[in-house]
Amino acid sequence: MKRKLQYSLIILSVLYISAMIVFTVMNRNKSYSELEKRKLATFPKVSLSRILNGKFQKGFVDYLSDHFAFRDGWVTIKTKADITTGKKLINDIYIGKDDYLIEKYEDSDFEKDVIKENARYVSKFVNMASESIGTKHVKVVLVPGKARALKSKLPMFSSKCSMQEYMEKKLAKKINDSDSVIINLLEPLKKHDDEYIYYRTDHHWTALGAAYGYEEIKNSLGVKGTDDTREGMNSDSDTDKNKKSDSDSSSENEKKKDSKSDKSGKSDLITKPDGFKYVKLADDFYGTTYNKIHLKVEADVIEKPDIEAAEKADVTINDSGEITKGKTMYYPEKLKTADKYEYFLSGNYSQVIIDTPKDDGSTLIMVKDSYSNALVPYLCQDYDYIYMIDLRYANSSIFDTLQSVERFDDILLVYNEEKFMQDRHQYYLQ
Amino acid sequence: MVFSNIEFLFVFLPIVLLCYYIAPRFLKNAVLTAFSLVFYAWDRPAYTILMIISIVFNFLFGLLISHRAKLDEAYNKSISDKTKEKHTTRVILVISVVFNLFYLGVFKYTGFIVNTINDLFHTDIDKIVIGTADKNIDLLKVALPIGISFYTFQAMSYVIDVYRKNVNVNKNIVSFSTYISMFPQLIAGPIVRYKTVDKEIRSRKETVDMASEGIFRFSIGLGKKVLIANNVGALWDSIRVMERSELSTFTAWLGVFAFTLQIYFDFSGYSDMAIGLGKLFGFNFSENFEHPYESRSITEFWRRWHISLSTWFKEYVYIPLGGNRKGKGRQILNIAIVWLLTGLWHGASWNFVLWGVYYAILLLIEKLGFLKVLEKLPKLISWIYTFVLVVIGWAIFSFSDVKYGSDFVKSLCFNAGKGLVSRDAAFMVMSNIILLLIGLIGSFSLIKKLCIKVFGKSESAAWIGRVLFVITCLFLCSAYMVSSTYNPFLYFRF
Repeated sequence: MKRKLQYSLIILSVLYISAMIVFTVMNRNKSYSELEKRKLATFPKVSLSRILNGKFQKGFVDYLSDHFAFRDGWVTIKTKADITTGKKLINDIYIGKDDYLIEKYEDSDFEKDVIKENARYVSKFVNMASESIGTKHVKVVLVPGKARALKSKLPMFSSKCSMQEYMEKKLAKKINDSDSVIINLLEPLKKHDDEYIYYRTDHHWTALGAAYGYEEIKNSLGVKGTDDTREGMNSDSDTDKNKKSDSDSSSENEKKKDSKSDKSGKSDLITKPDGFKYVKLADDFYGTTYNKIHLKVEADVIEKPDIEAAEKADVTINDSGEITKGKTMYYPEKLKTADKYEYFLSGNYSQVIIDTPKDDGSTLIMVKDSYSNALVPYLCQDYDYIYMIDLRYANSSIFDTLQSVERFDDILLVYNEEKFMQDRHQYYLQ
Repeated sequence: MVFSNIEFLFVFLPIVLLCYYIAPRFLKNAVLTAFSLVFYAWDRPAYTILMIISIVFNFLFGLLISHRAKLDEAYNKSISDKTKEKHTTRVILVISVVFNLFYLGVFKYTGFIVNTINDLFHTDIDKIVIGTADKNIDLLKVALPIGISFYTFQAMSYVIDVYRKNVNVNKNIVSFSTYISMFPQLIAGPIVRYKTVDKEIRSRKETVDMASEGIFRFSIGLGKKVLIANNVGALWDSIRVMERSELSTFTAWLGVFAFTLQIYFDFSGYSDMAIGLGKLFGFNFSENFEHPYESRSITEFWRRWHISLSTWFKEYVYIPLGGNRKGKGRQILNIAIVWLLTGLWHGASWNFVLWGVYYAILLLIEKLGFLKVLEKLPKLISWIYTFVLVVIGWAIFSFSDVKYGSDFVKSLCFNAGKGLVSRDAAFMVMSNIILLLIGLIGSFSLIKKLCIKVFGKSESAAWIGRVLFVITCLFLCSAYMVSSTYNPFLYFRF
């Protein structure tokens, strides 16, 4: 009996290791990992010098671990084992309440110098823009990350990060009339923290979250058309005024026609997010925070607001000089891929020009990151043209882009706070 | 290469075992040696030459000593005047010891010595030696050849034992290379003394008993390293980098406790894997750890921790110096010398020296009478005394940067930037408490005793338990090994 068991121990171990080797060999031709969003290592070149300097060995180890059998499954098992032993933070992702996977930020993730720099670029640009079109028409919108807005979902004693407040203070100090220019969405979003305003498994906000953001932006920009002081930066102010009154009535008509928004009179153009209807597009979305730990929690749902102006918008994408016309706001084919958030605008490009069904020439300039992709459908109701500029892909000064814009009524800088604090492309705001 | 990654477990080991078991008996040592060289060369091929040089020289020293010993003996017999006896073997021995120490000194301690001289006399001799300062060669940054402390000590034990006639000289360069380079114990010990494997090097038999036990033992070690050491190590890593202003006293203690568990599970896990692998190739290595954290005195701790190293120092330093046979004063000096060297062996920086001195003082206090007091104290009290002192020892051990180290010790002494308890400490405890408890209990002999109680009566039951354990352990370790590239062995520095 003992001998049999000893043999079975040896045989089982050998079988286990052989099975892994066989499956790994079968897996050798895979070249891309959808979950990790990267190319897998290829088999390293063999040469004596590469062996002597260790490059071959390193390459081989990368190749092996990238192609190891059931790689993704092992990561899930590891995450589950970690959770079983009570771990609440895995790969810098908090295992939050209600299946929320929330990325961790701490002070050391940020550099004060970068923040100060960014605050300087933004404030300089914003102050200049305010001078020419008025502070009412220039807004800096700060979208908090999940960890801050959904603080109630975090595990107990999770770490605090004070750098966002530091950044907010720096911006407030440097921007003229900062109280009206800066729209901090932290408190407005926090009020709804029991609603589905962020994806559970992705760092982005949902369409609903963006709707609450839109509400604040609308409130802050004021009611369109009644503002007589508004002046286009590059256009004749008289024609501008005329156009504005046009815009007012047309947008009103549109909304009446749609009857999708809660609207009682001319003076009350504020749209309540609750009034929007949403279309459910997918319910199997697993986003970035999922990718880090490969833990299947409840999948996320992609929804879009039912806004006709966005559906009918004509979109031109400028992908670092490569211009594609005749695009749309939404990309159903992206719902079949891993990053379903790309349903909105199909991702990020240096410049996106949206021409809505409106026809009053009203133009919004939007300096943005990916958070704006979910926000922009709402804004389609209010402008004829929306220029979305993503400085991370622009590689040239924002003024190069603005030169080609005939007029602009409002300027929005919409940033996710954490990404903004780490990004160095605000340099192009000058 | 190390044992706890997938390239070892799923590529290297299967290939070695396959070749080893199909090789005819007379080629087995050659196969093992060849693969050991590959194992060593994997990360830094150039350093393999250093090891080969060490092997060749020590092999020759052994031959030379045994050859001269015969000549000396014959000559000494032939003369009647005792004062004219020849002892040329002693000269060769001295040369070999100097060679080995010099070897270790050059590759391990050069940077340390140069730095110390620079600090003392405010010089820049490293730059003078190299010539111009802008040359891109940094004398101090020559990476330590992995395992040099281990294989040098093994080689010295062989030459000294040949001189002492404790072992027969090995005249086969292949089997001698097998002894020095054998990959199971090459990188992180245990330090195998030649006399313990002399017979097995020459002739051994691999059996089903040994192979199955070997796999079981290897799995225990792999689990210790991958499942426990790496995970508590991650906790310690997040704490060790904190500035004093970010630390609370509780965080500091939590950190050093995590390190205490990490270093035990890392090192004893490695020894388990080495012993297990040894069995797969027909070798029986001596135990290196005997649940040291159960000890109730520092003296006892050092009888249970890294046994092969303490034994080496005892046999080749302490006893030759006279041990305790030359009076109390001499014994104190001997202990001090041994512990200074032990500290230095662990690494070329001052914190290791300090750590050695720390243990020298504690051991002397115990030798001079405190041990008797400890024996009379309640078990729990003497255990707490030992454990706390060992934990503090690890705090000294872990910081090679003096400023960080002293800041950390200040934090331990209720003088931390964030007061007594901080929020992050609460989170770390909450997130790691189960792991830390498994670690603490796992470091005691409790689980082993429990297993013996449950399975002890039936050998079949014991083997069923082992089969289940091995499969579960390999499965979980695969998950952790594939998931994480976090795999540094702590004992690589040595």
